[in-house]
Amino acid sequence: MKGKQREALGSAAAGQWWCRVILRGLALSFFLVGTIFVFFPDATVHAMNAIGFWFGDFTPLPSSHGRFWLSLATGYMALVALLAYAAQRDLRRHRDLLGFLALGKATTAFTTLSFYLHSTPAFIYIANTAVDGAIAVTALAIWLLIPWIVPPSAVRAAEVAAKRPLLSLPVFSAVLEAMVPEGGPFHEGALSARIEPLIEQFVAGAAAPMPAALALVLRLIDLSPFFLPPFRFQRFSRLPLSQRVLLLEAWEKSAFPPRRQAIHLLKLLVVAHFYSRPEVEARLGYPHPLERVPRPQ
Amino acid sequence: MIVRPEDAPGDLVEHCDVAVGGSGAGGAVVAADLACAGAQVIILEEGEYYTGRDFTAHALAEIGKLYRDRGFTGAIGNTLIAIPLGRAVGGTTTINSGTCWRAPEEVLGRWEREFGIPNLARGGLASEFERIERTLGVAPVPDDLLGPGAEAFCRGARALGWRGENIPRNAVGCRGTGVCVFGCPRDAKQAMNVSYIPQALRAGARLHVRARAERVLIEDGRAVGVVADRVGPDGRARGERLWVVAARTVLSAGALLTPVLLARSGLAERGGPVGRNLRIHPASRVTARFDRPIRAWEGVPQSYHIHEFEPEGIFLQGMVVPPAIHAVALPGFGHAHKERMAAYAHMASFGVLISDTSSGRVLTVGRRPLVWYWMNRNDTARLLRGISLAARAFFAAGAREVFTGVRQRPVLRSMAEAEELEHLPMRASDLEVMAFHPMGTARMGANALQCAVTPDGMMYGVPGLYIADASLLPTSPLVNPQLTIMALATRIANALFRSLSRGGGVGHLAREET
Repeated sequence: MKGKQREALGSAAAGQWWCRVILRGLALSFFLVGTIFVFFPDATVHAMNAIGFWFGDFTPLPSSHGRFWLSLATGYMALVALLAYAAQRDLRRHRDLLGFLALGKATTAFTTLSFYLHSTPAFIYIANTAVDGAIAVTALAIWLLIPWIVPPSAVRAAEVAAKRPLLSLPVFSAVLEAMVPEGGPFHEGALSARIEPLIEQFVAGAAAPMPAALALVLRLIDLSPFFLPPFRFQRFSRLPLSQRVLLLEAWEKSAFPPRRQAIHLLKLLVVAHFYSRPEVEARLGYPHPLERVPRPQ
Repeated sequence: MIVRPEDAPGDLVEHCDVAVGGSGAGGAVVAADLACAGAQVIILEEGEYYTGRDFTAHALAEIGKLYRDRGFTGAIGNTLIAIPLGRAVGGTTTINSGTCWRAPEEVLGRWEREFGIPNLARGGLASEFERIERTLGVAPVPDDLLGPGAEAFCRGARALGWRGENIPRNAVGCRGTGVCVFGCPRDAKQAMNVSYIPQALRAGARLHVRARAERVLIEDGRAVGVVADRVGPDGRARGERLWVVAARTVLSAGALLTPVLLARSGLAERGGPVGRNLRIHPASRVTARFDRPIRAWEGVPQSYHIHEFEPEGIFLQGMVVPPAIHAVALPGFGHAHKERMAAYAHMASFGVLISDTSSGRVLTVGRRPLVWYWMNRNDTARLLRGISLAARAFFAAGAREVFTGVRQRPVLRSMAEAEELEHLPMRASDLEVMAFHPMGTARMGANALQCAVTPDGMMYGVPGLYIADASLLPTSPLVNPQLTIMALATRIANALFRSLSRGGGVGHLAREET
């Protein structure tokens, strides 16, 4: 590879990394701000009035009792948080979402500007115009940048990954190894048996929600050490084998039925595929039924 | 004649006397009886036609081939309950254990008294039962095929003074391959795919495989046939349709799919009985580990049954599964689970099944059933008692430890622990529950407000439409329902034939078309 090409690819990768970081940051801030709005609506207005007073002669805005509008605003914040989160997951495929995000933010920026100019010159209005306007511009900028920084090959890889959601998850291998590790009474383990494609193929033949449900379960398992006991401050997929086994056992013994049922489903798929292998059956002393009782000629 | 979508591609219109949607215990009987009586019959089946030569005895391969949604069918509610269903010619009879019991006299008497279905009790259904048993070769499992797992359990049960017996099955020439639920590779089990369906085909019926019934055709309030999507080997629609125009239409898609078909056809009134009153047989399994090798796989998997607790609605029935399915029942992960699996040859399992008192509902979401079932405390307590009883029998037989599938006590190590188990407070979701034999979602009876189908099998308010499957059963028959469904289907076939004869004679429609 020539030096210039390598340089271009390197800068494209850096661009993608920055775009993702910005969008993740936005998603997180939308979520936090939306949460603050819904739980502390009056305190938010008072705080913004105080900041406005510090900056200059803005009219303080009275706290509102319009809880209905607040609920709509919360829904809006949740929506824009999801838009930003989904967009950073796959920049090229979900590029259009950035257009919606920019449109939403531009709308609130113009609305609050209009209130500021024609209704009450409150600090909170002009602050929102500045913040949301900046976000709209940022979203549009990322939208424009994406064709330059995400090469088509990355799109194809993302499409392949989208079609094979399980195989693309590192946590899948980590779960396989924890469920049936190598060693012990016989050498083979689920990871070395390469049963992942078989599981994926099997699940693909089930009802439509099954592959997505399984991918969701795997993602939850991966993040579970952060929010479910026994707590660990690492993703499941990065934990050592003994810790992963402990975590899976915690899922299996959980008093929360959906958690237990989710791991049961996953266990069914993994152990059923592993223990149906003829060499493993032979290790267990289980003869193939048609060798034990041949078909009639 | 068997017709696959590839044999006659494109949209197709067929005419006949009777269109039968489904080839399980109900549909196969109606199709065979009517075809043998001279009616022109077309059977539609969503799955493929397999016989012994096609069955590999490989659990996962056969689940992929023969089970609806690869076995991921079930109910939601206060717990998740897997309800495996067959999707192949023969329906669930192709993947069941072949157990064939007559519905007990008290159940038939209740159906007669409370639901106004005439002539069931006091031997009223005996001739139908006898005929079917003769056709299927129903006989108790011979002692030499009981299998070491069942023998071990049996020893324990006898030590506790419990009564039991070898299970009557529809197997002819069975040698205990041990994979009944993955399709019998020797065609010994007389499932519908090797018994009634071949009989229907020999009598001139046409069988459209991979034809997924979509809705009933209605004209002036009368059923005039079925329209089906033709599907490829992968189960996806080919974009081709099959229209079967018939003088009489019979739905036999099973208790979970028949209500969906009725709803899609606009025949399930809001608040009406269709889709309600779902009954199942909730079940669990208990696995024991012995010090000595058992080799439980040698013999018939569901070979022995304990009578003792029938008055409580608790049934203990033999079961054996290959390592792939067995592994799921053992608790734990990692090397500990592997150590347990290494002792597979030392293990034996037994099934626990209860006759439910809870009731569920089948809702229609697109083309699929959404099954809602809330298992009540009584059923939960009885299932737990069944698990406790099975564990006791295993300990009495000398088991070292017993795996229960109960969250609070996944492993028991003594008789005392087994006895204590049934007294623990438990929720349905604490147990690993699966269920068999869904039924009752279009029940038969004389009261049109409570029931969807007349005692002759015709749907109330829809002339020309008959239902012949497990949906008909008004309550749980207490035992495995295959024989009861077949007996009622025999009656419905007779009623249908009489009605056809009254309407201008068998074959009239097809003759008109030609």
